[in-house]
Amino acid sequence: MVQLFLRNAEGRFLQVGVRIAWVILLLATPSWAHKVKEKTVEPPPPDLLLEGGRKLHYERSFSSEKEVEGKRGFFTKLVDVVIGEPDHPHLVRPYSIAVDSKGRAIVSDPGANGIHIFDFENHKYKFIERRDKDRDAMRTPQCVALDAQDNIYVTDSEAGKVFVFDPSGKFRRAIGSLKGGEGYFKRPTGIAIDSAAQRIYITDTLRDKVFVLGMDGTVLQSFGKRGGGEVEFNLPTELLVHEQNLFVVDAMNFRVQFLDRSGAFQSEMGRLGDTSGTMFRPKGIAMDSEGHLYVVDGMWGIVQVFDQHGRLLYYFGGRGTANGEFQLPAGLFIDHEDRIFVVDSFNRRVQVYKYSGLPKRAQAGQP
Amino acid sequence: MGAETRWGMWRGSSKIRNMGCWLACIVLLALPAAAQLQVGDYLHMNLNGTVGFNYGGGMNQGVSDHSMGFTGNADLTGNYYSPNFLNFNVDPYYNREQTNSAFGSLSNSTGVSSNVNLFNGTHFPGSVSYNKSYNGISAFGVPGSDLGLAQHSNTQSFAVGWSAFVPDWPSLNASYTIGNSSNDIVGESGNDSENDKTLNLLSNYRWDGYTFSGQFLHRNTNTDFAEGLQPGESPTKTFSSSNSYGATAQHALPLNGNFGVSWSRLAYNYHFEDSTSGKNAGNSDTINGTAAFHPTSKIGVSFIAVYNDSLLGSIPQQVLTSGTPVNLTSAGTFRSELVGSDFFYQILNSLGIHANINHQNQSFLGHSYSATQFGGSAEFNFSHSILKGLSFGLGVVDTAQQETNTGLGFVGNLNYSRKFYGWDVGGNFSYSQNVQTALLVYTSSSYSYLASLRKRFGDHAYAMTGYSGSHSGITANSGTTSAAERVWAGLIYRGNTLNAYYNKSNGLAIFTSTGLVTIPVTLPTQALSGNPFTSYSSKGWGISLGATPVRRLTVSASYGKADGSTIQPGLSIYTNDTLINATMQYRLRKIFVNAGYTRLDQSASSLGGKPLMVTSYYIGFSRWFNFF
Repeated sequence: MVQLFLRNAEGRFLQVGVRIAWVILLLATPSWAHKVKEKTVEPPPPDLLLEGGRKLHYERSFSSEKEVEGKRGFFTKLVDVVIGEPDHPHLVRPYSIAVDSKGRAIVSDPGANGIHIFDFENHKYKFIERRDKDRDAMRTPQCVALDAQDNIYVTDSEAGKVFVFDPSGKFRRAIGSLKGGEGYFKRPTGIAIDSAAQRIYITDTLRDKVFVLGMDGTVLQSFGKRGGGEVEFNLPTELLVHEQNLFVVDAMNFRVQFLDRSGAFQSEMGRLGDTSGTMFRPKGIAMDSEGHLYVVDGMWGIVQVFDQHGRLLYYFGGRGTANGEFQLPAGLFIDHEDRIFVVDSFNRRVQVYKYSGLPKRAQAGQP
Repeated sequence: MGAETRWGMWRGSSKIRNMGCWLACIVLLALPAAAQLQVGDYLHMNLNGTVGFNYGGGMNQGVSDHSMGFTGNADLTGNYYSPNFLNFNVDPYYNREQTNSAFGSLSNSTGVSSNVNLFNGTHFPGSVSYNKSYNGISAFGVPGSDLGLAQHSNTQSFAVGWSAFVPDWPSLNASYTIGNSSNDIVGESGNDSENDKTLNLLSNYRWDGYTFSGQFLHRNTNTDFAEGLQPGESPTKTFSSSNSYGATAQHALPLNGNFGVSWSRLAYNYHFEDSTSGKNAGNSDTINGTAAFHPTSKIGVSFIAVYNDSLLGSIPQQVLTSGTPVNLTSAGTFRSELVGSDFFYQILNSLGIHANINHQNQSFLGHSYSATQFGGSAEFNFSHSILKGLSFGLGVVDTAQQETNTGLGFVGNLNYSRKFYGWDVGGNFSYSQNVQTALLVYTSSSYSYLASLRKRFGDHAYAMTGYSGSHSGITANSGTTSAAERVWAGLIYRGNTLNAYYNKSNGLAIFTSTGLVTIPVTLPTQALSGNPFTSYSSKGWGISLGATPVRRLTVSASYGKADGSTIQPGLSIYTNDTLINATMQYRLRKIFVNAGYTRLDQSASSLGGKPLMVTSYYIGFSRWFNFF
């Protein structure tokens, strides 16, 4: 900026001096760049080698539209240099995740007041929001689930409704929207869909109930009441439907209840504690292809894995910001290829693991 | 426009080439720099900022001016060894458009703000800061006016702070600040300036249930008032310095009680020069002792003893919280001694009674007062909801002297809030009347009112309107009343707003280098000697619009007009402002396209003064860089 302050001087020496300064600056650019400490790529956590040759491998994490983008061409890069890179939408306070049949990750984000759709295969990103709508505005999207047609169901804990979008993100309807505009549910949070039985399961956390709805939104059944006994809940949150079972995270009873589809009690798992195998803030749950139940503990920043009898097999994670560590993890999803998606809420990202279990033959006890 | 040149940059086509080279340099420098810069083993820095180029022009009293040049600002942050050991930020800006100012971009400002923090989290943290701003635009305050008078201002400040927190030792906080500013009202000759030095020492210590604290504050303020607003009068220079000392000690007592003693001393020295000159110096001492007990939550009893000497020295600071000195001459000494006791009993949730007795001696303006006061008061606080949205509260205090009843003091307020057919209707009226005993005994009162309407249309549109006012009622001196009233209306549709207002006000104020400062109604005029009072009245109206017609494009426009008059005995000054301001910004990724237009008609002088008319406009672009 030398020239700016010496603008009134018109001597020949000045011009020469300024030009020399340019040359020095330009020549110095490589050395300047040399001093730049590039952001080091954090090493991934080591693979977790488990019993019987099983393995848990950390794959990657994603947090913004930028990770969806494909390779950028020369012209695009040139435009980026001249006018800057575009603003890539970023996860703000992600909570829940589901992955559809096309491999698209659908992430609810109460902080951004919308739903992110990451389509890594087609390098596309979409953000769904209904903030400014006159009717059925979406205020706090909480949990997300998909039906067999990849329609997206989102609970809104503040509006008391469930919003339904088609796979392209187009709004279809709101379940639980009463005539005056208010929601039927007090605080809907967890949601699970049984497409085969044409049922939607929704937890109403403040009512300590699980509602069973038809696909048209008609309430068919509800069960649960405040308490610590069987089919009694203390602020139930997330749900998982697997085969004939319905798993309910009974958050402030620090357990997961196993019910059948009619709401009858089967068994339970978990107790309050701060040691391995206990629960303090149970959040998302999911099940892998071997029937192991994964439970996120938001307080300790870990994912615990239990067998079908509720015995702890192993856990992964830990509080922190590095790869493989979590801060206030919440949602969890396991796809049909045993990819584990953990919503790392406070770190504003989703971390992806790959679980390699035993081959089917080995599971069946065959050599 | 005074000494400042709005577009004080160079011209000439040969320079265009140089500009291009500079931009190329900046882009090249920015290219490899995508992360934090580390110099050596311990110094870490981040730098981002904007670089831009503007073309601007203007018309100043019929003379046109065109120019172009660079603008920019940067934010350099970093730390040495660790953020706790030493962290810093330096934010320079060059030819920054003042789009955040009510007066738009009548001038571009250049300056820097910087701060260094040392040894955070240790027993000996410290900080150093430096700020400088050149060619800014600020407002010379006029009470009740939304606009004020546009003035150029240059400011500079430097501050050092250091603390010691050693366990089991008294804590110490020390700070030293130097600041100076100079202002000149646009279109007026002369310059107001002020420089200020402040040293502050504070120490606290806890020992065996006692809490001790001590403080020393030294302040030195010198000002020059221009004669611009007061033609015919000489510029005024003031020099003032003050040292204040204070110490307190507290200890808990049985029955939920506590005991405290405090001592403070203010020594001030004031000297002014205009067509005449004068000096004023004095001390003010206060010794205070209190003991209070609360045997139950409903009963309280307290004892107090206060000694005051020459209270006069502290009154101006109550008037002018900014610390700007005013013209004082000594009105004699003031001295008072007071001993008293207060008993309180809360009979009901909404009813409490006080009984107090005190004996007081006062000596002021050559008169001596002595009184024993027997006081009794009841406090009622009602908060009932009647007629769906109506509530009110009432507090009453009656003070009776031995010789006579000095009057009833009470506070009342009425609130109304209700929805009618989608309209939110709100109203408020409050009245307060108090007996003042700070200097002599007299009664003062004031009242205020507010009415508002608001309606929501759909999910995105709102309309609102309102009317408010405040008036002084009984004052210590006749002819010192003040009043202010305001009407406003607004519309909001999505991100677009439209607002309009009308206001008028009148009252008494004091001229200072930063503007007119309203005098509190509770202050008796005897406390300020000489002739510092200015009667003012002003009225104005304005309309503003803000809109986002398309994504990433924001536009705003405003029109404001204000007329005012200030009357001192023998001198009348009339002010007249008309301000039109419009700005636009469009953002494309990291590129910003900015444009602005400002037109100011301003006159601030006695009758017959020539008004000033300034027009300025600019258009330019800037690019944000994350350098490293």
